[in-house]
Amino acid sequence: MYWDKEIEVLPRPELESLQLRRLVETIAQAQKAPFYRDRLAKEGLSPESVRGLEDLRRFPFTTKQDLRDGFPDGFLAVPREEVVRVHASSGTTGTPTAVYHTVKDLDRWSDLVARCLYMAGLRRSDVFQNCMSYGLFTGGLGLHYGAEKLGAMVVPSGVGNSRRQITLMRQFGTTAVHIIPSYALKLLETFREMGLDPRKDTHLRIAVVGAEPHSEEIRRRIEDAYGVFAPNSYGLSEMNGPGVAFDCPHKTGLHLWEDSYILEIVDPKTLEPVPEGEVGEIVLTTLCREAMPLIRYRTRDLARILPGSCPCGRTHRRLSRIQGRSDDMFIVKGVNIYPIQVEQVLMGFAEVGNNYVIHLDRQGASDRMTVKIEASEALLALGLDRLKDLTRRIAHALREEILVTPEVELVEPGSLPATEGKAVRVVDNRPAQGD
Amino acid sequence: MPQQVVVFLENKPGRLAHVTEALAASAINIRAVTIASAGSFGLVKLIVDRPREAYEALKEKRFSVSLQEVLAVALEDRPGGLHAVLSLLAARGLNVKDACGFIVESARKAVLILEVEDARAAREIVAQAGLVCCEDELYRL
Repeated sequence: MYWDKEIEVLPRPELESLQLRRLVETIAQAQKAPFYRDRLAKEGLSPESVRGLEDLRRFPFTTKQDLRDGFPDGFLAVPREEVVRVHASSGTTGTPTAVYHTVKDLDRWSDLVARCLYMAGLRRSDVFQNCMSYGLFTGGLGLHYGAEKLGAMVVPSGVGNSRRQITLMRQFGTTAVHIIPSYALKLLETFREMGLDPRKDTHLRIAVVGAEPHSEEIRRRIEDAYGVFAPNSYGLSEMNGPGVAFDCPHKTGLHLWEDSYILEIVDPKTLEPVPEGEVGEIVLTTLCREAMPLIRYRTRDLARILPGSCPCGRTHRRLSRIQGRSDDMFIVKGVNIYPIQVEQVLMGFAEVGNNYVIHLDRQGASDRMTVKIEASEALLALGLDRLKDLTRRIAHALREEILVTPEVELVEPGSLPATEGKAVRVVDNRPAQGD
Repeated sequence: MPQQVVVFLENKPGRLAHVTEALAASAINIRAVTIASAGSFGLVKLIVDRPREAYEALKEKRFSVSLQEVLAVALEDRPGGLHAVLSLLAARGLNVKDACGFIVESARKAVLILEVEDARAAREIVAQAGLVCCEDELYRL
């Protein structure tokens, strides 16, 4: 039941002394990188500043902007020749950021991912189909190496080519997939076109869904349609990628591996720790990284620590689902809205498929929010009157949740951006402030 | 059972032409068409000679399209013909959701397409009255 029993059920006091020992090592290692050498010197901080875990709070935060400013080598703490892999963020929102790994880093990362997968029920006898993009993106290679480390057979099918994905699942008897949630739902259409039912015509029992924020409803749909356990996964490229926190079959929240990361939850405005159990920004410090240690990295992800213990016996604390990303938040008529709130409402309507886009426009001086939903084949059966009624009911339910009344439009599939990767959910056409 | 092709369309210029273009390109013959609109969108219902191929052709062009079973009844082109069918259905409490009719000149026949709640039950009733126009006949007209 445990991949690394000693670590996974380590009593808290021992886990914390392990953290402290590794934190001191991490600070010493970080000092070898130009960015931290300068910053820590300026603040008068060194490994000796850490006597207890609470001393971590004396250290400044590291932000995404720091990583950009340090691009490409400012955070590198080992000689360049020690590095065997680099992963980079997509850079869709600015300069890219790079994360470097030594052989040891990759080995530890794979081990963490294997620990997650084992916890979710994956075993050596499983066939793991990795329907993710390989490359600079960490999800594909991260899960690939993790599943191999565990001893499962990996089918590196990559993204796209839906019919082939399904054929591979059947030819190799795939029991577990790693897949983007929106693609998992899209793939159901292909199953239908091929006259197949994933519950009956495949051996799937686990679907690791990740790389894109998704609601509990989406997860449930995937679990129902495929007949699988779909563990939630949390990770970010700055912290290796997948493998930071993961669901166990009890689904009581995501166990965050505290032997490898120190977790803090802070108020994104005051940067003070939030009271235990309240939602705030996840801040992480790496404890096992050589090439690129990061101290108090602000993830921009919002979540809370869940109280109590888990029946699985693991002592590592549990995170709630990610409640939003401070970067994804958009403001309409002065109200803060997260895309995931909209998704939660939409998925509450059984007739609504997973294809939708939120459009933001400015009309005169005021914001206009339009939710465009694909009129799926299933919707057509409702007939005209009930379709009209459906848009009204959705608009009403959205207003209850986000306090803004959006326009709700049904659109042809071709009107929405076609994608087999991360789905585009928000299109903001409003002129920038000050224009 | 005969099938009608239902297509979702945004209420924008040129959308309907895209549908007919896709069907023409696949050499599909349209027997009858009705359009119902609800503001920003509408549903187009088509009776065609090869519904499955029409469905595939439209799907290929990323239209939202579905096939629905309908009741097709051949009537003599004379007064009271339509009433004969509707009174049969009404007597059995079957609700007609939508309907369209067309006349086939060559066959001197009127064909009535009915969208009924339970198309199979309706078919039985009409068949007992000796009125059914089966799928083959509909497509051969």
